[in-house]
Amino acid sequence: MKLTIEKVTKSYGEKVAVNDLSFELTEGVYGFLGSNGSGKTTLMRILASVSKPTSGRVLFDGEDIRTLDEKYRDMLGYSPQHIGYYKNFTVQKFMLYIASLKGIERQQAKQKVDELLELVNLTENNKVKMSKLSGGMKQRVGIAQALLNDPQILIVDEPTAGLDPKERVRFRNLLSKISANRIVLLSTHIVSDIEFIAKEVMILKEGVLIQKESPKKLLEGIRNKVWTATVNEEEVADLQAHFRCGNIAHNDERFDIRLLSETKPHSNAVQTKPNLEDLYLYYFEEDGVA
Amino acid sequence: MRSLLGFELYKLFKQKMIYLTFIGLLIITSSYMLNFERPSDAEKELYSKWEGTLTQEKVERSQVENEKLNVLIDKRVEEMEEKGEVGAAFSEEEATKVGMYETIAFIQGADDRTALRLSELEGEESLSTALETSILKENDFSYFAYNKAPREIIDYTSTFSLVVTGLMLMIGLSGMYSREYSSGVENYMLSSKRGRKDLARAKIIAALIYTFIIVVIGEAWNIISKIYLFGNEGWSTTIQYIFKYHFSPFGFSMIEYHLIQLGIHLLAAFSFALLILFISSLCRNVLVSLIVSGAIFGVPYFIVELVQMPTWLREALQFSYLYIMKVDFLFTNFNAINVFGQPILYPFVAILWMLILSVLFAYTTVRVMRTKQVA
Repeated sequence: MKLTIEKVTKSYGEKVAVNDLSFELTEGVYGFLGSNGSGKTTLMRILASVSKPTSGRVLFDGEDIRTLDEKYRDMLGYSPQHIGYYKNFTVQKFMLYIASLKGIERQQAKQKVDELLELVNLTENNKVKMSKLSGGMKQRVGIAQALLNDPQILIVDEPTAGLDPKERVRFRNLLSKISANRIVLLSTHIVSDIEFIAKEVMILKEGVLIQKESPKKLLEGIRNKVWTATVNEEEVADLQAHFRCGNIAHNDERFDIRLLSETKPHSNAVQTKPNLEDLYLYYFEEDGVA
Repeated sequence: MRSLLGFELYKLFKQKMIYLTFIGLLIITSSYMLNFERPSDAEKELYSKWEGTLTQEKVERSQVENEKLNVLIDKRVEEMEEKGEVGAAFSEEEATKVGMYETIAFIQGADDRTALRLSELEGEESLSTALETSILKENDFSYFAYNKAPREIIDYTSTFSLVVTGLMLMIGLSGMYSREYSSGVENYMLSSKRGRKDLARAKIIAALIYTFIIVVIGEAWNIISKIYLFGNEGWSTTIQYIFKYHFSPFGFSMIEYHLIQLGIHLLAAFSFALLILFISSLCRNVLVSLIVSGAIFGVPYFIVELVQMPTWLREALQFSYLYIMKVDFLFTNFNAINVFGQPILYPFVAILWMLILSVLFAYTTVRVMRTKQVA
């Protein structure tokens, strides 16, 4: 199973949202990392066939998804960034409606809906109106509906936005559980979402793919560039002005600061093991440095 | 497909707004009936004496009795004036009689005019003339009966029904796609196997079912309320008894005409429903969809009624949804369009036009949805 993105560009008038992207995806979880406006959602929409590229094409096992049309959509599960719903539909009715859109027979749909609501821990809420659900619950419904047709390609756009930490952990575990034998595309700007489950992380910046590597290899790229130091308040301001800074934690009268630098940034700075948050900082906070 | 259709109907009929609007519209458009009085048994009895075929003898007798009655009333008026009395110069029974005799004279006039028109057409040899002649020769206006109910039913269909149907279609259907876009449900639709072509077909069928139900309920209300007030007599009398159709060359009975009227009204409503659905598939905002549909429905009416324009343009504009749903202009006079030398009567042109538009909008909606992208 292979999804090939071939010279895909998407423009809205003068604005180029996605610029000449080419890459291949096989089974496994792919994390799309990028700041707001980096082109993640546009790319997700193209792959979910709800938007068409201005140029280029997407191939599934060598065949254009436009030619595959319904066959491609039959293999697809898509959870968009904003979970749309009908206010007067209960969770169960909404799921049955999506099942109907996916062409699942009524009897089979009922069984599948029950299974998936259990999987996302919403069985007890199946008679609750969609409008009464919390943001996290809606996101879980979003995931559940995407899985109704047991898709070979699962696309989830910013699934953890609005979730509390506990729900985010639950979501990551869920995704990990269901990711076998599928191509799972997960777009996020929260790096911890993909840190442990992504086969590859793809970093998008201003519509351009700037990295596509396993988390391990990506982190290797910034090895020796991540530092921690314990400094006083005046030094914090100075370091923030000259370096890309991560977490700052208060430690008695002083501060523990995490920062990125090619050279030793402070006399008492020590090198530390990089994580994906550092990577994000490395690629996306560049402009913030004075 | 059945499941999708079920959900579309559920979404349509779950809108509380349509029930409130429908009830409100039926009440408002029927409020004029409060001015009506139910005919008395005596009035119906008077009519029943004259009911049946109007023979020459009957027509002459009605003229004589009408003259006698007029003389009597005139005399009474003079006496009252001399005595300085104020009040009605005739009884209710006499008023009914006068009305009845005048109606007989009125319908006799239609008969005479048909004969005159036939003699005028005799010398002409065009296909259009032949068509008009053949229609006029079929006419027989001689059946007379009390027919207030069918007259009112036909009148309501060509005036208030189109307002009720038009508004109900706009309110019910304008959001069919627009609401999917504004709620974000479009993402699921467009990325799912059945969410484009099949869903479009399901929405088309749901829109047609909704339209059918609206027209049928409107018709049921129209029939029941009028029959309750005026009884069920007079369906066999011809449409020439209605002033608007007095010059009509078509000798349909009230029941025949009402069925034709209802059929064309329903066809135009179907076609308008498909237009609304098509507009909805293009508009992200329900209000915009509603306004555009409303403009297409109502603007031709105001142009025709308020703007001076050449006859051909006025007649062309009458082939818009509102007028075809109104139906009456298709039957009030002899009108045909010449297609390759063959005259096609306006009613057939209207039916064909509505069928073409229906197919066009249904097809285009499916096409739009096949290639639709999220904004």
